This record gives sequence, structure tokens and C-alpha cells, in this order.
Amino acid sequence: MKKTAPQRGVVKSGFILTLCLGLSIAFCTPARGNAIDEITNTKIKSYANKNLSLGAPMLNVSSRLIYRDAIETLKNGNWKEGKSKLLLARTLSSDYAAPSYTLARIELMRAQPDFIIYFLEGINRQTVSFYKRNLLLINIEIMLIIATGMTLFIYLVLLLIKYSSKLNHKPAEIYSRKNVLPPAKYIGLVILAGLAMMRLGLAIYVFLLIIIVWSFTSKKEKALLLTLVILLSFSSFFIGKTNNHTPGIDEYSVTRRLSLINEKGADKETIGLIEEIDSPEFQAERNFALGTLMYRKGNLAAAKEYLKRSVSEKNDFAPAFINLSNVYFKENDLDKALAGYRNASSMDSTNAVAQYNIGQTCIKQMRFRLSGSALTKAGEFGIEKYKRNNPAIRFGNHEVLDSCFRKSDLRSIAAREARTRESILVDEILKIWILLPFNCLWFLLPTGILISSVIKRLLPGNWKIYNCDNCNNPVCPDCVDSDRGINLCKDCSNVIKGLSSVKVTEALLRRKRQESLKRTATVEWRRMLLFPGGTHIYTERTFTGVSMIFTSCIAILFLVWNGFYFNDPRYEFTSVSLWKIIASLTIFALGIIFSVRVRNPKKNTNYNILPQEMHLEQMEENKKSNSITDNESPGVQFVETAEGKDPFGVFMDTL
Amino acid sequence: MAFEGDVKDFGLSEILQLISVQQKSGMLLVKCEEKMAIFFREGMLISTRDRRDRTRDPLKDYLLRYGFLSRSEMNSLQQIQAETKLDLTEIMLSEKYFSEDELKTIFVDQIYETIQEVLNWPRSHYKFISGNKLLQGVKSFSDIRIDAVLMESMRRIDEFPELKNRFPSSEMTFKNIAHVDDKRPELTRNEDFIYELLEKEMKFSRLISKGKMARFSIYEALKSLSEKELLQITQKSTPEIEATPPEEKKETHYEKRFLPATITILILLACFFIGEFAVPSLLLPGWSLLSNQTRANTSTAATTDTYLNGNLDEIKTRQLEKKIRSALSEYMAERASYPLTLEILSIRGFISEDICTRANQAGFNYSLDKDTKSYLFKRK
Repeated sequence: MKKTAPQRGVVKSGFILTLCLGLSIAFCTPARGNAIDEITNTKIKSYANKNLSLGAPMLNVSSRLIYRDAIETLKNGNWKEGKSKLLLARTLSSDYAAPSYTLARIELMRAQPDFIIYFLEGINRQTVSFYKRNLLLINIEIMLIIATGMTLFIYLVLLLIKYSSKLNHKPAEIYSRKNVLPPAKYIGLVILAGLAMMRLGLAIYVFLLIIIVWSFTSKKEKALLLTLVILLSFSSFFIGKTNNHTPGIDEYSVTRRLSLINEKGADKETIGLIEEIDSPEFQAERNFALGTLMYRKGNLAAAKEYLKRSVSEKNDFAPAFINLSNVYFKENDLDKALAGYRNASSMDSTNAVAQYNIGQTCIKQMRFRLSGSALTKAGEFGIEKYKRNNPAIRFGNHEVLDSCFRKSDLRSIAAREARTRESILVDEILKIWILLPFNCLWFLLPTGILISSVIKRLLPGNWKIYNCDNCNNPVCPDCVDSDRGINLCKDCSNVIKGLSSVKVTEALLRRKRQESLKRTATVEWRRMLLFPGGTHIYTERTFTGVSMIFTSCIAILFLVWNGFYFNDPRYEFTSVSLWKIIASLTIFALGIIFSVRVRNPKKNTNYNILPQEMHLEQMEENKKSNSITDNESPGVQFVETAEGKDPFGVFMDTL
Repeated sequence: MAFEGDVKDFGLSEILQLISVQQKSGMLLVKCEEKMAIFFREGMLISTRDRRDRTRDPLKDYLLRYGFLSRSEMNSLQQIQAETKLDLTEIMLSEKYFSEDELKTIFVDQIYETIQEVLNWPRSHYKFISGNKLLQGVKSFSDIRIDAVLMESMRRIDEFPELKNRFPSSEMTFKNIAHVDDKRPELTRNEDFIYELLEKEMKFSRLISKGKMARFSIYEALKSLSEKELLQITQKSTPEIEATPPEEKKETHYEKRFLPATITILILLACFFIGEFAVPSLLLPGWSLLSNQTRANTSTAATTDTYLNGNLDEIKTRQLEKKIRSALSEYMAERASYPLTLEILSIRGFISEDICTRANQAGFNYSLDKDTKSYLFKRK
């Protein structure tokens, strides 16, 4: 039986109603009141309310205290309550990352996928405020520059160890002609000790090491050395640019003082700090900051005065126009307020706060269509992001929003202030080690390479060092023995002195080669284990070696500084963080393990070393006299191994 | 398969004959005060050199004893042998110390002498192990028939006492009697060699060490030369003064030896003083290596001159100040009043003890107002 149209309508309405009900139940969340109401500690709550009344955009102190309380709760095993406290701490501040990281850890331990969201939020909070962003940037800059410098120095030291025998050869040879004590093999070490005692600073040492080592290195090693030199020279040349971030982290710089209005309300300390700024260059910004604080405090007359001054001193400063308009709004002079907002909007066409305030003013003027379009624009330009970054404005009753310093404004202030700084921060950190201005390195290091190349060309022919064909020890034209058609060092030559037989000579040279390799495997190998990556450099895996050195340097810096060089003083509770120590030590230990696991190369594994012609001559002689009865079966060698002993040996043992 | 026993029960010559008749391959180990290994292949004697016993090589002893090689030559050979693991005969042949024929003769003579020696051992124990495996790596220059060895050994054992009676003392000296060549009776190769050697008067013991042949052969040659009246024998010899090379005067150039060492130490000291005094004086103010005093001075200068534009130390001090101010705010928020002293902050866990100490060291002064709602926190 077919249903009639009204019946169909009823069914349809019923279906839609059920669907809406279902969706409402599925997605409904418990209604939450004001976050301030969730604070259980009355003293903290009253402190938070006091800050709110002073117009603070975020409640950092309350957030920190609640976070600490949450940690205590978690320690007591009440993770549910702890979690709710962490969520509250997270809500009160936009740049406090610790609650997000702790939440991420809790969710991770409970195998909840939300941990990723919290973790990413924590990372975001590290960069959300101007102060935090500058702190992170300057820390990364310092870390990278120092780690690169350390890597270059360690790399050069390892190359020095690798080529020490070659480097030491000629001075030792000249020295040993007339002198006995101290032994010639220590002459290089004595020179190095002398240089170290002079404490010339790492810059000069790196310069000298480049001169010494450069001409001995392989192409691959040269390429990496050059890369490191270029990187360091580049950062040395542009080191002045890093100063742009310094005012952002200096607690008493103009930039930092002005940026306080983005974080705090109109408390006495903040007003005092900003009032102290007397530099005429920053008067517009100072007046804007003071005007904003007065507005937050409710002192509209003073606010108007400061903001008018700011606008007159800098007539394209949109935030000052917005806040001045806010004062007019509070005074119910809506036309002036609207005109001010529109001015600000024309200066900064994507200013969300200006659009939002236009919308609010229009509502008050009952011009809803204009209001709607302005609020839509505000939404497009990121008013929600503004509210997220200033969480406290959600808790107050703000008809219009005040504007703080934009990041671009603070960057420009910091850049201007940086020009007045006489010294470079990175330079100050490094000066006690390098003993030369860091911005000299761009000239010094490439000069080292040039000098080394020139010296190599100017050196006489008998200073050319190459390797013994048998044992790889260094030889020079003065000490080489080439009588047998191969280059032999003094030691190898002495071993076969007076011998004519190819067979015996080969056997003795082989023995000498084995001894030399064994020594390399022990002495030189151990030296290269000084630092992670050393053995990689020794085995020509230079890129991996340098990467390991760099990683280990970062781990060491992390360990020495217990994190980054500068920390946010507001959020530093403990002086030592265990996980940072463990992480750094683990990275370093892994580096050592990887270095130890690298296999020692077997250089010069040719069984025969003498020229083929000598072997052929010997074979012809042997053919002539072939009467020796040798009971040794062909291909069978008398070798005593751990697994299978020679039957003769077994027999002797039984006796 | 092995058999063993004592020579008092079953003589060694019989054992050797048995091995020969049976055409056995293997090793006969004879032990008395010393130990000797004799190798056989299909009943033929091939070597008496035990390659496992590196301390005693009969061939090496033979070569040294009869002057085939000097001590220094042998040392050099042994050194090569130790380093190359090659057999002594191989090295001697490669380095052309002897031709193959010469070495073969020496090798056979050495076997004869060794067997003669072993047969003379009064109470020995033997053990024979048969098998070709034992012969692996045994170097041989000749396969010698056992009956020939036995016969020759027996002859030597028989004749040797008589020869000893003839030349009883090692102190005896010999010299050849010069003859016109055509009147000189015909000599064997050994006799000729000894005759030539005795051009100068020589003590018997020295003759043996220079004779380049087995002891029995020297005795035999001497006997023959004496019978042919080609030898002048003196019982009491004048002590032979061996010309010893003059001792090299060791020149000890102490000055030359210690001058460079002294110079090195002086240079190192100079380097140290350069590092201590000259380098810091060349540096810019405040650039010395970890000089706390200088750093403290620059820090104060920064505080007074450029208050808003701090250097590194100033930035760090300001961070410290900020940290304490934040902690004070926290204290205020939690307790609605400020603490009496900074130590209370550290006791309550708002700052660490280290920060409190650093603040005091940096010269910060903290005082609380009477109403406990405000405080004064400034540097001296």
C-alpha cells in the first residue's frame, strides 16, 4: 500500500529528527565553564583574577603553579585529576610548553594517539611568542656554529693523527742526523706540546692545523674540509646578523621590555620597566606600550594621551590606531572608534583585530550587515589564532580587543636595537676559546688553505713524502731504497739487506708488512678511537665520520649546557634534567660503539711485493735445479689451527 | 701402529734393520738423555731433523760444529728463519750458502754422524710410529739405505777408539810438511782439504771447528796424512793467541746528547711563558682564556654603561634576576605574600639552592616591605 504525501513527510521528519539527536549525542561535549572557575586553589584563583583585571593576555604564573600541582598529583598516582590540571595549565598560557609535553607523555604511556597532537602543540608553543622564537633561534645558531667549529677542529686533529707518521717523517729524519735525545719520533709531539702551551686559541690552532694537514689529505677529505671551512667562514662573515635575535632574549633590552605587553597585564613592574625606556628612537613604541597598559588598567585618559603621542610619532603604526580607537569605543565615541579601526585596517589590511573591532562597533551601531562582513574578514585573517595566543581574553568580558605588538614590529625594533650593540653575542660566547674575533675566521681559514697549497709548491723535491710499497710507512727521496724496483723504507730495506733470494726476501718483507699492519691495528687504531667517527675517517668513510663527529659535538654541547645555551628563566624549575644527560650520553656512547665496530682495513694485501721480473728469474733458476726431494704434498701446508692440529703435533702430545 | 721398547732388550741396530726389511714409513723416536727423531720412508732413512723441536736441529749443530757456517752467519740465518718460517736448508740454498750437491753431502754426513751418536747411547728408549702423515713437511736431500748406514756407523764405532788413542789430546797441534808438488803422495779430497788447512800450525780443537767435515773423517784424514809423513805433530803447543779485534771506544758525547734535550725543555718553557704572559697581553681586554677577574670587570662595566644593552654576562645575570622575580611572583600567587628571604624560595622549591647562591654572588639584594605585599630586589 502506497503511503500518502503527509505520511511520507512525517517519516522524513522523524528520520531527520533521529539523525540530529544521534549526532548531538555522538558529538556533544560536556559544557565547560570559565577556566578560571576550575582553579581550586583560592589564592591562585584570586591572583589570576587580579591579573585578568589588569588585562593580562595570558596567565603564565597561575599556569606554572597549576602545572606544578599537576605533577604532584601525578606523582601520587591520580593521573585523571593530574591530567585535568594539566589541561587547565595548558589553557591559561599559550607559550608554556611543559603541560603539553607532559600530556603527550601521559597519552603515550596510555597508548593513546592523542600524544602526537600534544607533542606537536608543545613544539608549537616553543615558537609561538617572540621571546620564545628568538630564544630558540639564537640557541640553534649558537649550537650550530659551535658544533661546526668543534667538528672542524676534531676532524683536523684526527687527520693529524692519521697522517702523523708522514708529517713527522721529514722533521724526524733531519733531527735524527745529529741528535739522539729526545728521540726523533717524538719531535712532532714536542712541537705540538709547545704550540699547546702557548695557548694561542682555537682559531690559530685550526689555522695551523689546516696548513699542516691540508697537503696530505685525500681528495675526499679535502672536499669535506673545504665544506666545513666554507660553512664556518660563511657564518663568520654573517655573524653580525645573529645579533638581531639578541635583544629578543635580553631581559632588559628595549625589545624585550616592549614585548612584555604581549604577555603581561598592566602591573607595576611592567609599567616601570617600559617607563625606563628613554631612547628617542623607540618613543612611538614606548608610548604605544604605555598607552596599551593604561587602557588595560582602565586609565583611559592616560591611555588616550600616550596613544595619541604614539600615533603622532609614527602615523603608520596600526596597533596604536586600534588601541586608541578602543579608548574611543570605551568612551562611547563610536564614530571616532570606527574611523580609527578603518585607518588601522587600511594600514594593515590583514589585521584581524581591526576587523573584529569594526564588527563589534558596527553591532553597537546596529549596522549588522557591515558587522557581519567585518567579522567574517576577522575570521579569515585569524582572529581565532589571536585568541588562542592570548587565552586570557576568553575569560574576561572584552567587547573589543586590544592590539599588542605584532611579530614584525618586534623584529624591526630588535633589528634597530641590534645596530646599537657593540659586541656580537656569539663572539662573546666563543672568545674565551678562540681568542680572536669570530668574524676574522672567514679570512683566516681560507688563508690557511692557500698558505698550505703555496708551501706544498715551494717545498724542495726531497721533502715529498710517499709510502713504503711494503709496509706503508712514510718514505722520502732521501731515505727510500728503490734498488729492487719498489720503494722500500729504511726498516724494510734493513730487513732484507744482503739477501739475494726472491723467496726469502718476499717472506721477510711479508713478515715486516704483517708486523706493520699489526702495529697499525693496535696503536694507530686506538688513537683514532679518541672520538666517535675517528675510525671512519681512518677507513676513508669520511662523510660518515664527519657526520658522527658533528652529532657527538651536539651531544656534548647538550650535555655541557644541560640543553641549550640559553634557557627560558620563567620555566626553569630544575637545574639539571636527567633525560638530557641520558640522551646526550647515549648518543656519544653510540658513536663510540659504531667507531669501535668499524673493521680495521687490511692495507697492501698483495702476497708478493717484488716486481714480477724478479720472480720469473727465480723460477728459471729453480727449474734448473729441481733435485730437492720435498715430502710436502702439493697444496698441503703445515698449519696448526685451533680446530684441527697437525697429526704430528697430536702424536708429539701423546708422547 | 706403534711399537716401543728399550735397547737393552732389543738393540737399536736390529730395530733399524727391521724397519728396513719391512720397508716401513714413519718416525723412530729415541730417547736417552737427549731425544732424537729418525724419519723413514719405505725403509729408507730420509732425515734426522725434527722440525717440531726448534731448540735442537742436528743439521744446525753440525754446520756450526765443523765450521761450515760462522756463528754470526748462523744467527742471521736463524733470524731469517724465525721471521719467514722457511726451512734452514731452503734459506741456505736460496741465499746460495751452499750448492745443492754440497748441501746433500753435508746432509748425508750429518745423518751418518747422528746415527753413530745414537747407536752409542747406552740405555735408550725407542718408539716407532708408522705412517706417511708424519713425513709431511720433512725436508730430505737423500734416501739412505739403512744397512749402509749401519755398516758405516759400526766401522766408525770400531775404529774410533784407535784413532782417539793416536790423537788423544785436543791440545795437540798440527802443521803440514811442505813437499814439492810432484813428490807429494796422492791425497783424497778430505786429506787434501785438511792438508791445505794446516798451512799454519793449528790446535786440534780448532782444526775440528774449521774442518768442514765429520769428526771421524778429520781423524781419518789426520791419520792418513801422518802415515804419509805429511804432518808435523806437536804434543805441547804454544798457546795460540787469537787476535782479538780492538774494542771500539764508545764515544760518549754527552754535550751533543744532552744539548738538544736542554734546548727542547727551554723552548717548551718559553712556550709556556709566552702562553702565560705574552699572549694575554696581546689580547683585547676581557679576551683572556677563562679569566674570571676580567669577566667580572667587564660585567660591571656593562651594567653601568649600557644598561639596556648587556653583554653576555649581563644577559645571564638578567636571566637570573628574571628567574628569581618569576619565582617571587609564583610565591605571591600561591601564598598571597612574598617570602622573607630568598632562601625560603629555595626551601619551598620555587628555585634551586644553586640559583639562590648565584644570586647572592651576583650581588643581588632582596628585602621585603612591611606589608609583605611588595619587595625590593636590586643589585648592589
